Amino acid sequence: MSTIRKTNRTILTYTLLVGVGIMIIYPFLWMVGASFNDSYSLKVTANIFPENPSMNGYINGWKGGGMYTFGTYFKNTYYYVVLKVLFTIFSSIITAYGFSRFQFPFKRPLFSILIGTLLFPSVVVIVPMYVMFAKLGWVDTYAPMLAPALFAGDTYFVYLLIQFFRSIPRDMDEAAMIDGCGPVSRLIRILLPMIKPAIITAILFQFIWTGNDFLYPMIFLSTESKFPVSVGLKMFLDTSGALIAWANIFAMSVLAILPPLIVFLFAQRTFVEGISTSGIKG
Amino acid sequence: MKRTMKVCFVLLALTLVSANLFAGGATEAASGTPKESSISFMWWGNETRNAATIKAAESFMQENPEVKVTNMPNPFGGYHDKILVQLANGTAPDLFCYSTEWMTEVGFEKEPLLLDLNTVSDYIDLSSVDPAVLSGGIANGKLLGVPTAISGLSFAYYSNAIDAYMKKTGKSAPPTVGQNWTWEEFLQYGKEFHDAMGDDYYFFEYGGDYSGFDNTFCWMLSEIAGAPYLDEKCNVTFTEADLKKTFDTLVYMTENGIMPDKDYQVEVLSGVNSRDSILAEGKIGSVLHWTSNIQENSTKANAPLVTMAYPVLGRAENDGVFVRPAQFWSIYTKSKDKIAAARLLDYILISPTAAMDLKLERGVPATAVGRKTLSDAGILSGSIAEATDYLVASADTGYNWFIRVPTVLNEINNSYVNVLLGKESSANAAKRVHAAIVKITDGMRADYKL
Repeated sequence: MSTIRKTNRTILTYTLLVGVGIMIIYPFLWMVGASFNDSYSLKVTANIFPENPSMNGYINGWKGGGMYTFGTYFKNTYYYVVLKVLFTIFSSIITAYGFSRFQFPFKRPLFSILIGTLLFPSVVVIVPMYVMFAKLGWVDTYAPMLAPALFAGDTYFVYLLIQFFRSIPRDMDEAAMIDGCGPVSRLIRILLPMIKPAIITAILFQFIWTGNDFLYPMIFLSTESKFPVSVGLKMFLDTSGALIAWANIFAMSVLAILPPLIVFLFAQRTFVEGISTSGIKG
Repeated sequence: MKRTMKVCFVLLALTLVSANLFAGGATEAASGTPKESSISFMWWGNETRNAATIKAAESFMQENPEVKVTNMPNPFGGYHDKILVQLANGTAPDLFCYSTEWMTEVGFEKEPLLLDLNTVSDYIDLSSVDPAVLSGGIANGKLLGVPTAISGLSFAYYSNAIDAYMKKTGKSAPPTVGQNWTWEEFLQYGKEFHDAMGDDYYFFEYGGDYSGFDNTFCWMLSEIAGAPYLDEKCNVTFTEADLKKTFDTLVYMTENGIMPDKDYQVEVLSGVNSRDSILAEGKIGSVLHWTSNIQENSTKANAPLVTMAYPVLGRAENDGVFVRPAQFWSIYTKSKDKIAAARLLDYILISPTAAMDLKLERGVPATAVGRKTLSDAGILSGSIAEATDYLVASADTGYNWFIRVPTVLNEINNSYVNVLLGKESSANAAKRVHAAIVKITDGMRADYKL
C-alpha cells in the first residue's frame, strides 16, 4: 500500500516537474523554431515546428542590420563581457574581503552606503554617469561600462561574497596567521578556494547580465563598430512602416543565447562540488 | 614570496590593460583637430533603411571628398534616451534624425539645442520643401528640423476583401480619389460589408496597434471638434460631448461588426494578438494608416491597397487632413562644422542621386525634386504615389507638435478599453479624460511657456 502511494506521489511529482519544465522551455523552443521560418512572417501559433524550414534567418541575420556583421557584434560583446567579469571578480573579492575580515574607521556607515547603492535602479545613475564620462572624454568607448566594475560598482556581487566570507570561521584565518600567512596569502591560499562556488556564481551572473545589457551600450556607444549583440539585435527593428525580418532576429537571438548557455552548463558542475571541510590543524 | 610576486604581476597587468583601455578614449579625443572636415551623422532604421542612408552619405562623400561623414546607424529602441543625453552633454552628432513626437521636449527652449536652420539657409535649399510640411519644424520662428519624408493619414481599402464583397453582392467599391462620401455612408457600407461577408469579416481596422488606434481616435475627435484636438499652443479644442461622441462612434462600429469585436481589439491593443492573420486571410476591408505604411500593410494582406476617399465626418470645408513630417533631420547647435552638416542635409534633400539611393526607405521625399526623381524612375508609383498626391492635395490643416503627445494619448487609450468592455460609460470616460487632458495640457503650456 505504501509502495503504491509512493509510486503515485512520484508520478505526480514528475508530472508536475515535467509540466513546469515544458512551460519554462517552451518559449525558447518556439523561438528556435521561428528562427527557421521565412524571414518576414510572424505567425502567432503554438506550433514550434517551422512551416517552411529555411536557413535564411541565419544567413541573412548574420549580415546584421547596419554596416557590420554579427561577427563584429559578438567579438565586441565578449571583449567587454570578459573584461567586465574579470574586473568585477577582482574588485568584489578585495572589497568583500576588506569588509568581512578587517576593522577600519567608518566601516559601518560605509557598509550601509554600499548596501544602499543596491537599491538604486541602474537607469537612475546613467545620466550622471554620462555627464561624468562625457567630461572625461570616455563616451563612445567601453570605459564607462568597465570602470565601475573595476571599483566594485556592482555591489550585489560584493554583498554575495561578503556573506560567503562571513560563513568561513575565523579560526581558519587564525590558523593561517600562526603558520605565517599575511593578509594577501590568507585571502589567496585559504579563503578564495573555500568561496569558489560564490565566485563561479558571480562570474556566471555577471557574464549573463553584461551580455544582455542593452541600455548602457546603447547610451554610451555611438559608433556601430563597437556595438555589442544586444544593440545589434535591435538594429533589425524599426518604427512602423517597415517590414521586420523576424526570422533574422530570432536566429541571431538563438546564437546570442548559446555562449551563456554553454558557460552555465560548464559552471553547473562546480555548483555541486563540495567545499573542503576542516583545514584547521591541532 | 613567489605567490605574492605572482599576485603583484597580475595586478600590474590588469592596471596596464585598464590604463590602455581608458586612455583610448582620452587619446582619441586628444589626437588633434582633423585637417579635413569631419562630421557625424546619426539616424535610426532597420537593415534596409540603414543601407540606403549609408549609400546616400557615401554618394555625398564621393561628390564632396573633403568632407568625411561618420555614419552612425542606431536602433530605434533607446534612440530617444540616447539623443537627449547626447544633446544635454555636448556629445550629439552633427546631423541626426529626430522624431516629430519629441520636438516638444526641445523645441521651446529659450536656446534650443537644435540649430535654427535659417542660420545656414545659404547652404540648404529649402524652397523645394512644401511650406505646409516645413512649418511642422518651426517653433518660435526657428526652423529646428527639416522633414526627412512626408506622411499623412490615408484611408485605403484592401482590394482582395472588397473584390470578394463586390463579387458576392454586386455592390460597388468604396469611393476613391476624386469622389466623396460622408461618415454615415462609410458606416453604412461597413455594416453591409460585415452582414454580407460573415461574422469574421470587418470593414475597418485601425492599423493593428495602439499607434494605429491613436491615429483613428484623434482623427475622429478632431473631425467632430472641427479643429485639431490640440492646437499649436497646446490648447484643448474639443468638449466632453465631442469626446463622448468619439467613444460612442467607435463602440457603435464595434457592436455592428464594422470593426473587429471588442475582445479581439483588446487582445490586439495589448499586444497579445495580432491582426496580421485575419488581414492575410482577406477578412479586413479597409484601414486608416500612414501613407508610409502602405507597402507594409499591402504585403501583410497579400493584396494591393486602393486609396479611399476621406469620409467627411464633421466639416465638409475642412477635413482635418494634415501632412505630417515623418521625422526630422536636425543639426546640433554645438556642431563643430555646421556648414558641412548643412551641406550633407541639403544633398539628402535635393540631390537626385541621394533620392535614388534612399528611394522610399525613409518615406516619400519631403521635396518636390525628390518625389519627381522617384516618379520618373517609376519608384514612386501606384498606391503610394496616389495616396501621397491625394494627401497633399487634401491637406487643409497644419501639423503641430501636439497632435501626438504620449501622455495625452495614454489617457485616451486606457479609457477606450474600459468603455469598449462596458466597464465605464462613455459619458463618464469623456468627463474624466477631458479633465485629465486639460490638466496635462495646462502643465505642458506652463513648462513650455506657451
